[in-house]
This record gives sequence, structure tokens and C-alpha cells, in this order.
Amino acid sequence: MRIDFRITAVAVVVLVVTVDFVAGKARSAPRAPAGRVATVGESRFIATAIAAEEPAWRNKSEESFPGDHWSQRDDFHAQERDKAKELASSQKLPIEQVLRAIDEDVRASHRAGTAADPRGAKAVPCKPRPVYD
Amino acid sequence: MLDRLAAHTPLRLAFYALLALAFVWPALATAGYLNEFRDAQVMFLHERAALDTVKKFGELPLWNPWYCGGMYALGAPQARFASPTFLATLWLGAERAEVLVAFLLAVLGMEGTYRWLSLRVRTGFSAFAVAPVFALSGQFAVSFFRGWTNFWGFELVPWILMGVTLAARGRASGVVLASVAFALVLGFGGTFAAPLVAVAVVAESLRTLSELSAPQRGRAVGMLALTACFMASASLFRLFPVAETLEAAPRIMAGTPGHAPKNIVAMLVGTLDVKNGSDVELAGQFYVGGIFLALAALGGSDRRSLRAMLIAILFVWLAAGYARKPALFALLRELPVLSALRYPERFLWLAILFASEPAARAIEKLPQLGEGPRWRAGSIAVLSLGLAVTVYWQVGAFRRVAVARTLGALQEAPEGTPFRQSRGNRWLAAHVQAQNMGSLSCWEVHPVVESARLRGDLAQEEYLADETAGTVKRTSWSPNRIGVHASVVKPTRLLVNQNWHPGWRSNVGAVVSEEGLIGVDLPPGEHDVVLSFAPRSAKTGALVSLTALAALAALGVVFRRGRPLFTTRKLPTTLGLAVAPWLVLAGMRGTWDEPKWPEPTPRNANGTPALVAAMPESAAPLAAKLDIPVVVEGAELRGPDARNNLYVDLYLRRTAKLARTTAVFVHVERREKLPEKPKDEPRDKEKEKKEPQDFFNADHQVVARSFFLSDAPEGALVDDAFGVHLERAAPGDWDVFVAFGHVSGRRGRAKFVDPGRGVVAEDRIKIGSFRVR
Repeated sequence: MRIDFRITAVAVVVLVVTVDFVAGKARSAPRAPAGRVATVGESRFIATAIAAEEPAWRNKSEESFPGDHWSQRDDFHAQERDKAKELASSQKLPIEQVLRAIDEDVRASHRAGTAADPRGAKAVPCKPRPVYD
Repeated sequence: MLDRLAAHTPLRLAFYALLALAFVWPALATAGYLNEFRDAQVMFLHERAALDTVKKFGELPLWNPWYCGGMYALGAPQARFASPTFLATLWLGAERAEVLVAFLLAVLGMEGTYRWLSLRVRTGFSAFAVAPVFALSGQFAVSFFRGWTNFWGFELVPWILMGVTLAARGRASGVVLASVAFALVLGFGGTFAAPLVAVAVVAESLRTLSELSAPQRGRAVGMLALTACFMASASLFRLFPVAETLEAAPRIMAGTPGHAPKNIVAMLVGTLDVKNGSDVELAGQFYVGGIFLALAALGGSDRRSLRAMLIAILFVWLAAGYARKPALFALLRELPVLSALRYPERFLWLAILFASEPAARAIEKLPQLGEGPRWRAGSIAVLSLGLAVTVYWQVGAFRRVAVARTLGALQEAPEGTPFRQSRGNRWLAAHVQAQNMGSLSCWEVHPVVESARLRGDLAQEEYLADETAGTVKRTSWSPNRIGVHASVVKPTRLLVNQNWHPGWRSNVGAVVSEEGLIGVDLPPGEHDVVLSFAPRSAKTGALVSLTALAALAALGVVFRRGRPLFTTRKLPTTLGLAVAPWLVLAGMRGTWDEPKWPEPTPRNANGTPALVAAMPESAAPLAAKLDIPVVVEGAELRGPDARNNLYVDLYLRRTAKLARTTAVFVHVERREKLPEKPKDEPRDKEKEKKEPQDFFNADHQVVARSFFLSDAPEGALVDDAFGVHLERAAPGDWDVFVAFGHVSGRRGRAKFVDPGRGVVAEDRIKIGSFRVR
């Protein structure tokens, strides 16, 4: 009975320490630095670089998914993601700063009243492809 | 001795905790990082949105404005916050909680498997030794790599099955266990949890019934019905919102996915690794190792394991999908809800779980085959070593994929940054949300009801439909509550740049859907408008589930220690407790005043309506009839355009019941075939990619990207619009043919009984021609 109690005590301690250890490690694990804020010049550079590539991305998406608006838009954003990551890496900026620069530029395009939706700011309702198609 | 140690709960749990620690160890050092995998972005966003809603705004996470233009958070099948694991997220944050949740669920998975196996396996040690194989199997590592945290909910499946068995054996605790565990799994999310668990529960129920004597079966059936009743009511807090969401926008899955036997074996015994740093390979995705399979095969020959082995084999058959004829998976997909199942290989999870029983029996049996303590000790040592090696490889597999993840960090928007919709990017959805921006770029496992009027470039998120009618200023904002002050000089509509949902309310007038946007009609005057989100399914579901949990607690107390539930004296109590949650549901129905979702308008992928009154005059009439109830009314071709895209509108009519497996085969062929290459010429794949083509196909099973042809409204004219990219189409004259048949393409084509005005050859009808210059 005493042996059983000792085993129980040791097991409970091991259990508690293990759970505590995992929670503690998860809590104290380092995180990557959040990064800096882009300067006005950097934002402009990013926005220009993205805007310059958008027509080619659209063209490629329309070739890849003829007549499929959601897939075209999704493919467009996949290409945008690759470029955004590349820019974030080359400018040593967090990806959020790239996304914000794009957002500001898209808004500026609308405010300038250049066209109804020159940058694809309108939603294309989510309509994922069935597997077979 | 070993059996006694294995039966010692604290000792067993301590051992399993240490194993789980070894399993997640490689992920602990990077717990503070974000998994950048594409699916992880969306899964993480759901959890992070819930966290922000609670912590920053002090609200329940009902509405998620940061994704797809706003969506019902509790109804999002992939969200996992509606479970106790959300406490870990609240405590540690969404990134750090993931590894703790994985650890805790791995422990629960091992313990649950042990307890479930112990219901049938006599020696505790064998159940103890085998249990980790399921709980640490390859798919959990895959889920961690891909950020599919909600798939870890499958660790609770053995608890559900244990509850089902106990319930069938007459124990009230089984009803409680199965219901609570099922509610936890559903709360934890995922589109596969409910259907797969339902299949597993049916299998376990039938197995348990077959183990009982005939007189016991009647009571067992009653207990199982009671369990099903409580499983549904306890999980209604989640079932109701998800069902409502999927009803508004059904998930449609087509195709004939399948895996050859060698691929299934590779998934079970292959080495799990990451391909080019981007995704995991097929091999090892369900890694349990050869030793486990050998043990399962050995134990499967034992008469007592026959049922478990048979079920495991059935699940392997299901996992083979359409690759094994006849396809059991195809039969399953004929059932409601299960029709949307994809990825048949996920049934391997259940196969592994059920195969654990024969494997445990083999460990139980082998030491008894020889004589003497040396043989027994030696065989146990060898078997233990074998399983230890298996677990070691599983830990190794997890380590390989955990360290191969691409990791990142979030940069939060400065305090006070106002929310606004943006074009966004679903591939970086978590990063978009961190900036307090909504992503209109949207991907989900079902078509989200998303307004085409949403914009990611507005100066104001709340505005008037008639901008000359006055001004609007936001006064407060939180996910579930939006306040604006409107000064209006003439009647107009206030619009909010988010998706409409019937759960939105306004203190001024009624909330209406303006082409899917939130709208409120305003009369002239000064208005402080407050919009709030409180859907009936959340309120009703929560109340029903709470009542069910209270009833389950009462059931557990009243019928503790195996007291029978269906005696004449106790029957009213049992039935009363089972019915109580549903009475609450019936009572709540009287309070429902939500508008109905409008009937979804099926649309083609190009946005045009899927159902039309008549063909346009530009379409060529065909009126061709087949020996299946389909009429090809006509077709129209446009293109190829400057991008080499050909656009097709195929006008079809279903005239009677049709098999769901009917597919449309579309062949785009050059009239004159290009010369075939000599067969003995060595293949150069890179060169082939640049060579001219003389054939393209656009086969599909879902017409107008909206429904299976079998589900098209009978008699209605369907405009099935699709495009074909004719890259490297060789110059010349081309024809487009259409045929119909079984989706696999292996059962021949349907015959045209009346070609109408079309030309039919080889059971294909020509729907048009074009020239490539």
C-alpha cells in the first residue's frame, strides 16, 4: 500500500511537472521580433513594385482559370503573396508593412477616381472549385 | 506486474505525458512563432479573431469581420474556439497555445485509446503499450505541419467510442462520455469531425450490439438511441450554426478520389517527410509502422478480434476511395452530409484505431504461446521494443515536419487603428487580420456567402447609399456591434461594408440585405444607429446544449454505478432528461424572428446565372436526347480570345432522376490529329511541355459550378458555362464534342437516342467548331 502511494505520488509529480513544463516552455518561447514600420519612401517603392506586376498576374490567372472569376482572383493573390514575401525580405520589413502599403495604394487608386475597380478592390465571392473540375 | 503498473492511472498518465512531451518537443522552442503554411493562415485567423473579440472587445466571438467580408464565426466549420482549448489561447495567445493543445490532446488520445481498448482486451499492459500508436500517428504530425490544429480533435474519438460501448452495455456514464466528447470534437471544428465520427459510432454500435446476447440487445438499442439523442443536443451549440451556414452555401465535392493499395501501405509505413519545404509527402502521412501492422495482422486471427479487424478492413476499404472496386466510399457518399466527404484516406485514422485492438491482442497472446517465464519475459521485451521503435519513429516523423515548417511573426497594428476592409490576401490572411484589416480575398472549405458589393478601398466602412442624402460617422466599433451617427435629409439606406446575415439587428428600423451587404433604411433626421449581431442559432444552440449538459449531469448522478435507465419506474426520468433539451429548442422556436436566408442563386464560375429561362439567340440549338434523362438543348462557343481561352456555354436539361455520378465529358479536338511520335523515342518532359497540342478536355461532374447534374432542378434549363485554355493549340480547325457517362469514364458513354439538330459520332455530340491561326 505504501509502495502504491509512493508510485502514485511520483507519477502525479511527474505528470504535473511535465504539463507545467510544456505550458512554461510554450509561454516563454522566444518570438520573432515584430519588425519596424516602413518609411513613406519604402511604402511607395513597394506599392509601385506590386502595381507594376499586377497586370501580368491577372493575365496569367485568366489563362490558368478561363471564365472562373474566384479562381482567377485566388491565383492572383497567390502571385501577390510571393512578391510580397520577396519585397518584405529584400526591404527587411515585416509582411504586414507590405500589405499595408498595397492597401494604401489600392485606396489611393480609388480616391483618384481612375476607374471603377482598377486594382481589383471589389470582392469576388468565394466559390471554391470542386475537385473534379 | 506490468498489467498492474499499466492499470495505475497516475503512472500511466505520467508515462503518456512524457511521451507526448517527447512528441511535441521540437515545436516547443518555436511556440511563439506563426505557422506560415497557407491553410494555417486561415485556421489561425479564426482563432486569433476569436481571441481579439474576447480580449480586446469583451464580446463573445460570434461574428468575424476580418475574413471574407464578415462571417458567422460560430458557424465557420474550420474555427475551433468553441471548445475548452480556447482557454489555452486566452492564456497564452493563439500561437503559443497550439503546441500546448497538441500536447494535451495527445495525452488524451493515448489515455482514451487505452481505456477504450481495455473494455475488450484483458491485459492492461497490451492496451497500454499499443495506445500511443494511434495517438501519435503520422496524420497528427501532418496536421501540425499544415496548421490544421482542429484535426487534433480526432484524439477524442476513442473517448466517444468508449462511451458508445459503455452505453450499449447499459451504463449511463457511457451516454455522458460519448455526448460530452462528441460536443468537444465538434466545438473544436473541422468539416470531417462530424461525418467521420458518425461513421465510427455506427460501426462501434453495431459491433457492440453483435457482442451482446439477444435479450440484452433491446435495452442496448434504447441506450444507443438515448446516446445519439444526447450527442446531438449537447453539440447543438455548434451543430446548429454550422448546419445553418452550410445550408445557406452548401459544400459540393466532386471527383473520384482514391488510393491504390501500395499508396495506402506507403501512407502507413513510409517515411514522413516534407517535399521541397512546401508540403508533406504522401508516404508516412498516417505512419504507424510495419511492426504495428504485423501485430494487428497477428492479433486479427484471434476470434475475439474478428469484429475489430473486420471494421478496420472496412475503413481501409473506405480509405481506398474509388480506387478499389466496388467503392464503399462511393456508397457512403450517396448518404446525406457524407456526400461532401473528400480525402478518403482520412478513414485510415479509424482503421488504425480499430486495428489497435487486434494489435493489443497479439501482445496479449504471444507470451502465452510459449512456456516458461523466460519465454514470457523475452516475448514481452521484444514486443515492447518493437512498439518503442514504432513510437520512436513517430516522434522522429513529427520532428522532421515540425522543424520544416516555415515560421513567421505577426506585427500588430498600433492601438486604435480603426477596422477597415481591404483587398487582403487569403494566403497571408493572419497577417492581414493582425493589421485590423478584413481580407476580401477569401478561401474556405465551402462557398462563403460573400457580397459582390464589398469593397476594399472605401474611405468609410459605413456610408449612405445616396451620398447626397446626408453624412455618417462611426461612433463605436466592435466585431458584434457597430454604432454610427447619421444625419439624413431624405430617406436613404445606411450601408455597412460587411456581409449581411439574418442575425444582425438594428435599433433603428430593420436590417436588410442590399445585394448581400448590411443595410438599414433611414428616414430623414438625426439617428444614432446601433447594429448588433446575435443570431438565433447561437442563442438557441447554447441554451439547448447547456440544458443537455445539465440533463447529462443529472443522468450521471441518478443512474450512477450501472443502475438501469429503462425500468418502468425510471423510464419517465430517463425520457424526461433526454427530451428536456429538445423542449427548450421547441420553446425557443417561438422567439425566432430572424429573416430567412434568401434562396441561394446558383451561379457559374464566371458569375452568370446557372438557371436560365431560354437560350440566347446566339446559341446553336441542338435538342439532342440521350438514353439517360438529359437533353442537350444547345451550345455556344466564344473564342479563342487573345489569351487562347475558349468559352463554352452548354445548355442542358435534366428530365428525370439521374445518377449523381453522371459527368459531362468535354473534348476539344483538332480535326486533323498531329502525327504521333514513335513509341521508342525517349521522352523529354520539358520539351513536351512546349510542343503543340491537338487535344484538350474540360470534363466535369459539377455543372455551372453549382450542383451535380443529378441535382439540377428537373426540367429547368441549365447554362453550364466554363472555359478552356488552349495553350499551344496547334493551328488548324478544331471541334468541340460533349459526351456523358459515369464520372470514372470507365463504364462507357451514354448513347444519344435522338441527335436532334446535332451531329453524333462515338456517342459524342459536336457542339461547335473554331479555327486556331
